[in-house]
Parts: sequence; structure tokens; C-alpha cells
Amino acid sequence: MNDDQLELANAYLDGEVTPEERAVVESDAALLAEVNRLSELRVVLGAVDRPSDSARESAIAAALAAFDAATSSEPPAESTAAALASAPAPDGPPVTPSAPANVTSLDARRRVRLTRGLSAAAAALIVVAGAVVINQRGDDDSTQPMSVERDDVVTASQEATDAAGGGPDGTASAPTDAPMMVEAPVTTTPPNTTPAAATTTALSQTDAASQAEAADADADADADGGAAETETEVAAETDSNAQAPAPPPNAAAPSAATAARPDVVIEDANDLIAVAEALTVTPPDVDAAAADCADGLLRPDGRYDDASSAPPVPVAVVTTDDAGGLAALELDDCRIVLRAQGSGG
Amino acid sequence: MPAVPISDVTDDRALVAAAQNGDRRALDILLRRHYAKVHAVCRRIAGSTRDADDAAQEAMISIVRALPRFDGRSAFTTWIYCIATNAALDELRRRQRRPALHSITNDDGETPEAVDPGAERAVEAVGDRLAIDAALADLPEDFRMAVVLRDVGDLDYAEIADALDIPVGTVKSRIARGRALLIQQLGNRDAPPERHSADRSDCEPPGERRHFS
Repeated sequence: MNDDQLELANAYLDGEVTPEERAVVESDAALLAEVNRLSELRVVLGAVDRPSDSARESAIAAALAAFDAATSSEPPAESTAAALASAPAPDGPPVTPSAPANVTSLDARRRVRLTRGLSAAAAALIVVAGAVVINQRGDDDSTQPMSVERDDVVTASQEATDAAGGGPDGTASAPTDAPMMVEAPVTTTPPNTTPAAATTTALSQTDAASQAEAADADADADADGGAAETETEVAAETDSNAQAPAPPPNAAAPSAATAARPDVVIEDANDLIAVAEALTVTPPDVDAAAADCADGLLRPDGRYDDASSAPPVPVAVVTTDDAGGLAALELDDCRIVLRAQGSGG
Repeated sequence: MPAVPISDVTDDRALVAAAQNGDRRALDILLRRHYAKVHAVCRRIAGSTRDADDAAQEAMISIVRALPRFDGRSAFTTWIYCIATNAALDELRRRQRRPALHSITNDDGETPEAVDPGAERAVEAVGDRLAIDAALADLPEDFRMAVVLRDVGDLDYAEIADALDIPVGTVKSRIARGRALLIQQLGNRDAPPERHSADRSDCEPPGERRHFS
């Protein structure tokens, strides 16, 4: 099919043809087949997720704030009743403005993401260096209970309060009653993973054996209203059949912050997919999801919010059902645990 | 004739006139009415929900700031989708400047393989949903804008030409070629994607796209 025919098929689909062109298309089976293909594409393109309520309210509040700022120095508007008197009657349900929402600065939101990300990167470097030191010490000291392989380093973050308390809560275990996987674009696979162990992995897991801290308290205090936090990158050992690292003395006791967050059950698979979407495919998306999770922007329904409260430990486990479908996804240390309807675990 | 309550007004022109006259409630209604479509346009151009959220918010603010200058020569939807398109492109460029911080690979640089066949199927299910985003992301910007404004924004060719400040013939060409590339990409998901560049004879130089705000 040449370019002219292609344009003709597209124009036909879009209702941008003359009667003569229409006749040409409708008399050509190949063109009609192309129109059908284009039509299917159009349906796919048009199927966009509905934006979240919080995003809509935030955007409108910001826009109205801009409006208020622009009009604050002007005299109040006169009634527009006259201008509206000739307006046609509504065809659909009326749109009713809702109560004003808080205005969230995009700059602040982006600054939080970037600050956390940079802190995580800095901490990761510290962790790698620490792991190398530990390895070197382990070679010389047979009493060292564990070593952390550089290949096993994955990323995670830990809430400052957890770090201050002596270590992560260590509760990020994945469900074991269903086939599992992790969309793991940023992790490494342990070289000696057994088949049993291979059914479960995590985007990142905490390991108190080594941890480092990167202080971003100042920047976070700016963006989070003074809630200074420290992000921690930790190394993880993911081979469940290998000798597991010994947990720290207080590893079994989750922090008060994480323990207070209940699991959330969702019934709409699309919500689950929305979370998976944020966590899969490309490393930058994982970064963004982890940062948003840390910021508390990633909500249990898989969408984003502006409330910032969740601690930053991105541990994500995707669980599949018997048919291989997406069944559950956990961001355990963020205490967002999602279960598809009917799935166990 | 009795005045129509503003919440019942459906004509954009009346709401725009009221908002330009300082009616905050009219503006609120106007923004709510079009937010979903603005967000959808941003979503398809920027490629992620988060970026679309940010871009849509930027677009809403830009719409408000530029509203006093909106003269009604084009449809209100044409105008705001153009603003949304620019906001999404700006957001996309902002995102591309952000560093990738957690990208860790094996020592040999290979991406780790999935360890569970079921996992692959699950990823594929999500991948179906994401394929369109990837295909759009791989599309030259000029093509993407035209296709999105047509298939998501429901603008006709003349409106797209107005929004993008290009001839209708160019719109027609970009839509046809953009869709063809999308179909090709979506039909060959296992094959490495080809990189296409827009026919620059059809396009303005980068940086010359029209900004309304």
C-alpha cells in the first residue's frame, strides 16, 4: 500500500474524505481492511485510564489558586448572569464544583522525588563500598557470620526511624502459596538460586547485615514540612536456600509506623495493574515508583496521591495466579499489600 | 429570559466568557469538564500516569493564565489540547533529564532473566497494556502529537492544524505515517524496535512549536 492509499484510508476513518474518495475506499477491499486495522488502533489509543480524583483535585486547585492570584488585585467580577442567560440548556448532568483542595506545588513534588533518588544513589555507593569491605574482612576472618556479595546488592530504602532503631523490620517476605515472580529489571539473580527459590524474588529486600545512611534531611525538611528523613540503601541476599543472613536482634519487631498500616484488598485488577505498571518495564519507572512510594504518593489503589506519609522501603513482589495472571503485588515495607479478588496469600 | 444557573451551562463559550469576566465558579466548571481529556492527551504523549498528572496540572495552570488572551477564534478544546500537548512534551523532556538511579545490572551488563514462566506470562499481561505506551514513546514527537490529538483529543484535521500551526496536508501525512508506525511496532513487539525520524520537510525545526503560556 503506497503513501497515498495509506493517507486515504486514514482520512476515511477520520471522516475527512470527499464523496469521491469515500467511494474509492468502499470499493477497495484492501483499503477497507486497512481502515479496520486503523480503527482497532484508534480504539486502543483512546482507551486511557481515568485520572485519579486526587490528581484532578490537585490540578484544579492549583489552577484556581493561579486564578485567585491573578485576580486578587482586580475588582470582583460582576454577575455573569446576563452573559449566561442565552446559554443553551444542558445536555448532560451538571458539573458541580467541589470543595477546594490543597494546592500541591509540582516543584516541591519533583524536588522530593529527586532528593530521595539522589540520596538513594549516594547510599547505594556507600553500601557497595561497605559490602566490599565486609567481603574483604570475611576473607580474613572466618568468624564473620555472613558476607554480602556485590552481585547481590539491590536497592532499598529504609525509614529513618527504623534505621535509628537498629535495622529494618525484616518482614518483607514474599507469599509462598502461589507461583511468584518479580518483574525485576533492576535486580540481579543469585547465581545459585534453586528452582524452589527461583519462584520468588523481590525487587529489593532489606538486609540488616549491611546498611548505610545518606542524609537528605535538609531537603526533605523543605519539601515535607520538616519531616526529616534519612534514606538507606542496603544490600540484600536473596537466595533463600543459601545460608540466610542472620537478622539483627530487633528484626522481628516491625516499626510502629509500618505495623500500623493495614493490608489493603482491592477488587479491580486494573488497579493492581496500575501499580505493576509503575514498577515494571524500565528502571526509571522503578525509580519513580519507589520514590513515589517513599513519598507516600503511590496510593493503595495504584494511583498517586499527594499525602506524604509512607516510609521509603521499596520491596515489591508480584504474585501470579495459577493461570499466570497478575494476582497480587506487594510493596511490603511501604505496607501497601494488594491482593486481587479471590487470590490467596 | 431567566438566567441559567452556571452549573447547568454546557456551552464552553459561555463559561469561557464568564471565567474571563472573573467568575471563579465558571472557571472551576470549565476546568472540571475538560480535565479528563486534557489528562488523557497528556497521558498518551508523556507516557506515564505520574507525568500525565503533573503535565495536566501544568496545563490547567497555563490555561487559567492564558485564558484572558483566548480570543475564541479556535474552539476551546483545540486551544486547551494544544496547551496540554506542550505541557506533556515539557514534562517528557523534564523526565528525560532525570537521572536513572537504581539501574543495576549483572557484571556482564546483561539484564537478569525472569526466573518463572508464570512470571513471564504475568509480565506479558502487563506488557500488553504498556506496549502502546512504548510504541507511542518510540514515535517521533510530531507524529505522536498529531495522532494523539486526533485519536485521544478527537480533534479534526483542521483543528489539529490550528493547534500545531501546520498545514492540514501535513496533519494528514503525520497521522497516516504515525499510525502506520504504531501498527508496525505493535505488530512486531518481539523484534527490536526500529527508530524512525520524522520527515523534517514536514516539520518545523525543534523549539519552534507554539507555546500559549
